[in-house]
Amino acid sequence: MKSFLLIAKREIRLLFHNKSIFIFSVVLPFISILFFNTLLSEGVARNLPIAVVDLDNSSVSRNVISQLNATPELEVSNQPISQLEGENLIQQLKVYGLVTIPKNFGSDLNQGKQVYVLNQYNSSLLLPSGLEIKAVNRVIGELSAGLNIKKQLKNGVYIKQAKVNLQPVTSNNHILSNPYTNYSYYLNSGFLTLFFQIFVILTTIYCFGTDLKYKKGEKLYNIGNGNLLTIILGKTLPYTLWFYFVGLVMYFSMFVFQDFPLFGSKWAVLVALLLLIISTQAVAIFFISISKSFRESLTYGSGFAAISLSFSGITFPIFGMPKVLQWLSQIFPFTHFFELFLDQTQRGFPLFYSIKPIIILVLLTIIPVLLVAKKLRNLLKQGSFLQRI
Amino acid sequence: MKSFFKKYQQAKTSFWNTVSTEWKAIKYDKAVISAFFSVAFVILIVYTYIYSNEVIHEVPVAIVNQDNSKASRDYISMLDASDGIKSISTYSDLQQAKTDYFAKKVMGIVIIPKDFGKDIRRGRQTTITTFADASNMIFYKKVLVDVSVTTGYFNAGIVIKKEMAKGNSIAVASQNYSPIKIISTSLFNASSGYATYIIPMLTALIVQLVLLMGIGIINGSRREDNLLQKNFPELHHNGGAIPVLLGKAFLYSLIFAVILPLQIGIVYTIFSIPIRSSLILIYLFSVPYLFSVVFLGIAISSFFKRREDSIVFLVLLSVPSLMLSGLSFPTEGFSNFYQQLAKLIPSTPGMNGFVKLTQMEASFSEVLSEWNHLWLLALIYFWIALITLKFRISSEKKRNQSPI
Repeated sequence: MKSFLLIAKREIRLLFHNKSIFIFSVVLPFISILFFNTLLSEGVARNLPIAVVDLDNSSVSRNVISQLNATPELEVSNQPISQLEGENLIQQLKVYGLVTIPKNFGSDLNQGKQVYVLNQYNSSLLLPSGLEIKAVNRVIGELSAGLNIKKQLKNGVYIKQAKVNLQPVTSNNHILSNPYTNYSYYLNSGFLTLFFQIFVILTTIYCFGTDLKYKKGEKLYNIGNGNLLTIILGKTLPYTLWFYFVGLVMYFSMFVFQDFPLFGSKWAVLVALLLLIISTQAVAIFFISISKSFRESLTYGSGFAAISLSFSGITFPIFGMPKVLQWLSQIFPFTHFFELFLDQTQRGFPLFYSIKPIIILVLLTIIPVLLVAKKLRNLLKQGSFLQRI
Repeated sequence: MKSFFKKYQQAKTSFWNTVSTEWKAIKYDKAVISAFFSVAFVILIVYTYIYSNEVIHEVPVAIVNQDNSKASRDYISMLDASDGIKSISTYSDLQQAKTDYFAKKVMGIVIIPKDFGKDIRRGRQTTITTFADASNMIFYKKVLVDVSVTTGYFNAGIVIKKEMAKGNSIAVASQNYSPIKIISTSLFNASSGYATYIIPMLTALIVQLVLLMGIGIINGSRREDNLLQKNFPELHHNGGAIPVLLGKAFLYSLIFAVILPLQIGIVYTIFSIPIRSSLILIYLFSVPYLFSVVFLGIAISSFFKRREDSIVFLVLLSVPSLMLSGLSFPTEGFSNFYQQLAKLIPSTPGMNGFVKLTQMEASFSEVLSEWNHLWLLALIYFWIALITLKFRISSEKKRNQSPI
């Protein structure tokens, strides 16, 4: 116990002496929380510029343009005179889509002929192009439906019946978890917690790495009386507590400042935070023990932390990855944390379904440390990494 | 004239000196070599492999069929035939479907109401209820889009059949049903594939990451050992830093002249991501991008005390630069402050230009604005790098002179 306190005290002293650790554990976490909370504060993209080529120039076509302009997603920013010019605007990334209204659009429509509208979009940019298709489809669909109903009314059909004739089956869509399809809820849940994880892993590697780089491992080993558990706890526990506080600030920014959905158990969300911190620290210890140098452990650690975003399935579902990577994704603590986090915040699942990720996170904390315990002991006895660089 | 010539000769020597010193530093530093090659290739390949399926197919969706009529079964089989959804219709009530949703066996629920078939035949409107989980946008869009498209076709089928029963031809019926048709075409990335979308962006981003890391490691170890003066004595001369900076930029550009075609040629070909540009245009476009990143790297690395510090760039700069580039989330959604901040990062115009060239078949004149932007950034960071170099050499000199 005494040696534990000695190491912990030494660690806190180091924190204020080592500029890098101070920056990673104190300064940058708050900057990242500020950055992500303010970057996507809108959450939903509005007024995406599109171009409309109006080859008809009738009152009908102008109505189409103003309807497009009236949607919250779109804004008709350019009206090029030819399609070629419009396509160039897309290539210059000045507009996200190009809607072409053909010649004789209005007169054909009045004669009862079927007309078409051409929508060209740019899927090189997935998000805006998705919004553009949705908005243009909706506008044109509504215009078309309006004309259909008008025609029926002229034939003496009642409005109620006309609607049924247009749409015998309607669909009532309920959006679960993220009712406004707010991108801030979606992306920031991932980015904020990912960056939090990065800082935990970097700090842990730094706090062991600086000791080992400057040949202080043996000293540490002696203070700890050779008890590995005391050393590990003494070195990591101050940071566990500190990062728990940082994590609470992060949660505050999400759920109070930004009003993220929190439908599940608050206690589970708090437990998830603790599990994320300790499992990440365990991974960091694993990387320190297997590396030949400080630099190498940092490379592994930061690479592991950065890529865990993709493996968590937030950008592209794990379900859609090649089978090998689906298995691989299970060794990342962040994957399980993120599942637990989403289930207990946005999805609001019963607690029973979160027991599995909790157990896995506990296992992922214990196993990496057990795996390298012997190596770490030798490394500390040795006092420093094999290589300086 | 003679003094000018002498200056030129001097600059030329120090230029080639820099190139050879820097090359040696790279060659003998395992960390830098691994940064250049392992990060540039391994990370790119891993990411591409993660996204290599491009789109998700057959998302399981629970169907609660409360009707059990022929019409409802038709609807379900239409839904099942759509590319994105696999319908599982073994649920007798909503509770059962919910349990499987909690267990993540299904990603959405579709309820077909009682009297679905009867109502359609009687000419009454009936409503299908869907639940889609928006905590993951990709699943959500897949479920929602496929259900609405199926419903749209199902409706059109019913209405057109009715019209034809009245004696109208199919052409007239379809024309009456939807007076305005919409033809949607994607100009690029026709299948909206995820790898095709993100890999070109990552390729350009990785250039910046790898360069910043490499330069940071080299300069960090020079700083650890106080080697700056010894390696680059010309920095003491008046204007001596200019050939040093140019020499470094030249060398790193040469290295990337090898890495870039390898990246594009191997990774893009293996995972069949389109390349719609010639190598020469990519080279031409990369020159100011590489220059600006090199100068930025030199300027930033003077803040690092240790060589390890620069590695964190890999992780800390990647996501913010990706977000700020405006390619993943449209810049229109950012506040003015972030829009301006984005312009200061070389990767913003770099990624935009690279995506335009390789994916959107842009001609060089269409990336000219990014190209000019990059030259401007290169110029700005050149000056900043010049100042920091001067500052560092004088502080190092002081440290070496002061008796310890």
